[in-house]
Amino acid sequence: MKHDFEFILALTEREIKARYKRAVFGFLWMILNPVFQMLIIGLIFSFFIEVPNYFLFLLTGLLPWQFFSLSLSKATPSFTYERAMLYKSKFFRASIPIAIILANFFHLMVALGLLLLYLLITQKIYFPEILILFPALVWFLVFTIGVSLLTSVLQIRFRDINFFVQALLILWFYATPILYNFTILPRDLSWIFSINPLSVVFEWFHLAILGKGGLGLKVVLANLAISVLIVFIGVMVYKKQSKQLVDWL
Amino acid sequence: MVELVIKLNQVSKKYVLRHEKPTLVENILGRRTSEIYWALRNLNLTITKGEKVGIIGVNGSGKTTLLRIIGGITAPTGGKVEVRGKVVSLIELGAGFHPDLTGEENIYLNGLLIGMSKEKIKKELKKIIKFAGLGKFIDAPFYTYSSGMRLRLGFSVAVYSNPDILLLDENIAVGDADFKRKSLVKIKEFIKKGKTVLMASHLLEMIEHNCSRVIWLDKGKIKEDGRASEVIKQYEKKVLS
Repeated sequence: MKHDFEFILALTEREIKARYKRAVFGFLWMILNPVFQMLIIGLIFSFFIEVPNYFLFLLTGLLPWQFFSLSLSKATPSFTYERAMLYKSKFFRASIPIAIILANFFHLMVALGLLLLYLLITQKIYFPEILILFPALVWFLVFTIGVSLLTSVLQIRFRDINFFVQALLILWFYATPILYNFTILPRDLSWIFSINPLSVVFEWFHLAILGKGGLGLKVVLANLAISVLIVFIGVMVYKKQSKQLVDWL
Repeated sequence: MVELVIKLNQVSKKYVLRHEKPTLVENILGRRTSEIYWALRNLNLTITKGEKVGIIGVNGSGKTTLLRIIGGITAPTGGKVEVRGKVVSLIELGAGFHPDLTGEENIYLNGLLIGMSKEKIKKELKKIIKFAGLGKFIDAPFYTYSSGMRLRLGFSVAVYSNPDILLLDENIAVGDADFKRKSLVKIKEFIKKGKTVLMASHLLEMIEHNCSRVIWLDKGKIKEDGRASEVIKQYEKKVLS
């Protein structure tokens, strides 16, 4: 147990260090990318979408989305990329995708920290709304690990899963309250928020940073149930296959 | 006292052979071409502490699968596997390194990968570096290493992890002549210390030289199991004639 933890940390460190070493701006890109996206999307969509403080609203959603989409696209093919490692020794297999996610999570935390620092100086931080950030981050992290376990194991069995994941990520982006929020969605489309397990997490990010947002208890429970189900399926599929991953490589 | 370290009971391993990489779309469309292939069939095997066992057999006889099952790299389809002690495989020596990290950073990563604790790596770090003969390169990124240096580092970490059971195949003689000699000396040292060693190889001479017992695998079953010289003699008669 202690050893698995040490190993995951070492792999996470490797992910982070490797990014720094390859390019000095490696980390800067993690922040610049969502900022550029914010500027472009903001310029265009601010004409159609009426959300107060729209640029900040966008950044609040784009930062966590970048974490999610990078994690999922890197973790899904991770077992196939690290096949030599799998052949070498019998370590805790989930370490590989989990380390990728933790490295991205670290970058998300730094980016959020910088954003909060900026807000503290220029605007204000909403209290106690800011506290909802913690359950949102925990939920988000666990959910991302669960989904990645599922997709990374399936990718070994079916080599086209990664294409599905890429397509899904694009659709998922538009189904998640990043460009818009609950208030501008027509009432008969609100079921989308109930079945998308990420809507509450993203609305909690909005609530924590902008002081406005969040969804009703019904949607929270629906999201939570779907999240738990997906994580459960991910863990079960992983458990069933983890001892013979190399057979399919 | 005889102490069992490896016990296989009715172990089988089934592989589904596919002619192409499987995809979900084909699976849904129901276009699957696959064959079932038994790499191991109802294998019974016990190995006691300190034995040096050679595994021989033609390609596809199950040598690699057997080592993988003993090393815990894959699970058997049926049967029971009991392994006592720490197993280290010298088969994928070049794996588990990252090109952008330095030699030292890679030693930590690789050591943890094969089951060493951080403290243990710290303790052995100097010896690992010295044995691998990396010199100044230890602080250079791994992508600057020659392929020989990479294997040397992999070998060095593996031997200093102090395994109870060592798995090798014929690629064991790695690197240049000097390192080849050094690594064979190290393996002999292991043998002297009473560690269990399993070697799968086509190099019959090397097996006869280092092993007291030889298992001849044929189509996933044990054909012969006995004294090295005798089994090898029979094998040579059958296969090489």
